[in-house]
Amino acid sequence: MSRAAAYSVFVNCPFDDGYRPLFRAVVFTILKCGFDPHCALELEDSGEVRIDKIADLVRRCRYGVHDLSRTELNDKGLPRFNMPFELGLFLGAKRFGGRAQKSKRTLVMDVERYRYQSFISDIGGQDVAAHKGEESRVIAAVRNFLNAPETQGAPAPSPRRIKADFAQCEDARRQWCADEGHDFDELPYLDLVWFMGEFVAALAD
Amino acid sequence: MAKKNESSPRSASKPTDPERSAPARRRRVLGKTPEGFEVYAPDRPPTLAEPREIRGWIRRWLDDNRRGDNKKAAKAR
Repeated sequence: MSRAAAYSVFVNCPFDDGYRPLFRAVVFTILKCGFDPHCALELEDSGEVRIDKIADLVRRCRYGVHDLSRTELNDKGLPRFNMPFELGLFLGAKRFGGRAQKSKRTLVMDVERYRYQSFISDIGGQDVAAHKGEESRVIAAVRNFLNAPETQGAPAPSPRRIKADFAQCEDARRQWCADEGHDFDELPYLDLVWFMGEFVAALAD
Repeated sequence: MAKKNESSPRSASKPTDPERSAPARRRRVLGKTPEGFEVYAPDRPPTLAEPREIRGWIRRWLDDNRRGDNKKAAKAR
């Protein structure tokens, strides 16, 4: 196991249909960089209170990837607060936690770089990566964030390489889902991570 | 140092509240990072009943892809 693989990454990103391709790109990039992705979707089968599950996930992860791009109002005229809330939880753990928690690192992404100032100005001063809803930018932001000197012996693969491998992985997964009777778009999170992890390992063989 | 509640007869006989003690899928801990974060064994997807030769399947797919067979097969479909 590489040193990087020892580290879990908390993925605090939207789960809606429109974001799904970007979400998969985030998960694949984390795996390709040798890290271990985790998000609230893996907790669906547990009977614990949701906030307790999320807090436990936050506690376990040294790295956090947060995407604040979903601020639109839903059909009831209300915004989704989960992502800013979980970002706050992560930053709180870093601020008030013990030695391990204080070593947490955070990536904040949004569609545009300074847009967050209109809806969550408290995080002003934080370096926010703008992805403009583009897969290449999301991959580059996550890859550069995880390409940290303290965890990587060698640099992570280039964003272009990760993007090409991700495209291949999605093609393979499409065929595998068809063969196995899974829905490509609705594949459960743990199956997705498992397939992508095996694909990354097969590429490295 | 032994952890609290670990193999304690008293805690073992204590009635548990099913709401509080329910599932929490526990993953095997392999060790800790220098900062103290637990390192977990890779997860197995719960929806797959038995281990499959997925790595072999992916390798074959990659080989076929290099030869261009996957595109031909997709076109044929």
